[in-house]
Amino acid sequence: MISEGTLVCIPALNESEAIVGTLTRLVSFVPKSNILVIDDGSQDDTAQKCRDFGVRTVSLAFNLGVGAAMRTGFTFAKRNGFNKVLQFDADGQHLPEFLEVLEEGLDTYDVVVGSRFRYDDTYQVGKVRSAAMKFLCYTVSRLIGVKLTDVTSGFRGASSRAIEIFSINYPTEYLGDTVESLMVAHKSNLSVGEVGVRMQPRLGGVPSNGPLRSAFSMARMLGAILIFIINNSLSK
Amino acid sequence: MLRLSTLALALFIFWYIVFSIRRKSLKERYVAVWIPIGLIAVVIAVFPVSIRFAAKVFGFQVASNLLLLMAVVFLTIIVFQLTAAISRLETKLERVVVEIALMKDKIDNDS
Repeated sequence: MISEGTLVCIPALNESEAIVGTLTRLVSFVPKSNILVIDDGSQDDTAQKCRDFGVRTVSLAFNLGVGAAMRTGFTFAKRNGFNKVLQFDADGQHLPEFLEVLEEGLDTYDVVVGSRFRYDDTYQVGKVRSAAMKFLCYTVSRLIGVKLTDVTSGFRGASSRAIEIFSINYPTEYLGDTVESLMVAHKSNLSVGEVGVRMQPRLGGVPSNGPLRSAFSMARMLGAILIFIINNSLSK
Repeated sequence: MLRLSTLALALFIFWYIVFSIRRKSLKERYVAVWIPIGLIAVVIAVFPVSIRFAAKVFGFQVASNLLLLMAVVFLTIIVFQLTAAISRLETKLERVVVEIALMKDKIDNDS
């Protein structure tokens, strides 16, 4: 069971289809009072469904991205006396039974990332995407001096020291909330570690497939990698 | 006649810049770019020979090429300044939206 001072933050954008299923599975592991949904400007009834379900829900006036949603969660945690934050996906991709594994990781590290690739199961990712992810992993691992296998995972935890820093400075650009935030942690002298988790294919929401869409998301990812390199390689 | 109209145009641009500053519709940090532009426009309109002289010094065959280059450089600087300003505004907007969301949540739940 999750400890009392731990807040599970769920950034949600137009997850009307999946959110109730996700919350239903989550509450058998986490008490409702330890769950916060951050509705990132959803156009549908995501926020209403969460409130009806009985979990605390903060609504951003319009869509700001996962980074800003999580910064909202970190700030909430800080102001309401939570000392650990676990990030959990609204679409049902993350499995609640691994929240404890993340939480245990926070005894050792300030920032813990749940990696899909530590367990050598067959989590499916496209070829080009997987190459880009491997490149990112390699670069980030070298820069922060910790071997990581899944830097784009959104299943992660933050200690109270990390909450303190992330509530003020959490990157909000594309990939900022995953990759760049690890650099912020490293530069702020937070320790970063990884634990193995298993994930599920998403239950609802809009997956980004189709050749045009995946080409676009790939280009965006490469752009983000470029910006990441500009941000982190030249400066010592 | 051409000289008079260019002079009138240059003076109008300069007057409009000064007017905008006085009316506070232009923030200080943008004044730094616009004042020199207004001054240069007036100088060139009063002494057209100055641009021809400058073109010769820098090796431009036609004076208007120097003018066009200056225009491109100024516009690039201004657009860059604007993009930077928008980025700053976005960051501030994000802070405000997050803060409002948290305050609204507090009002709704702490009563």
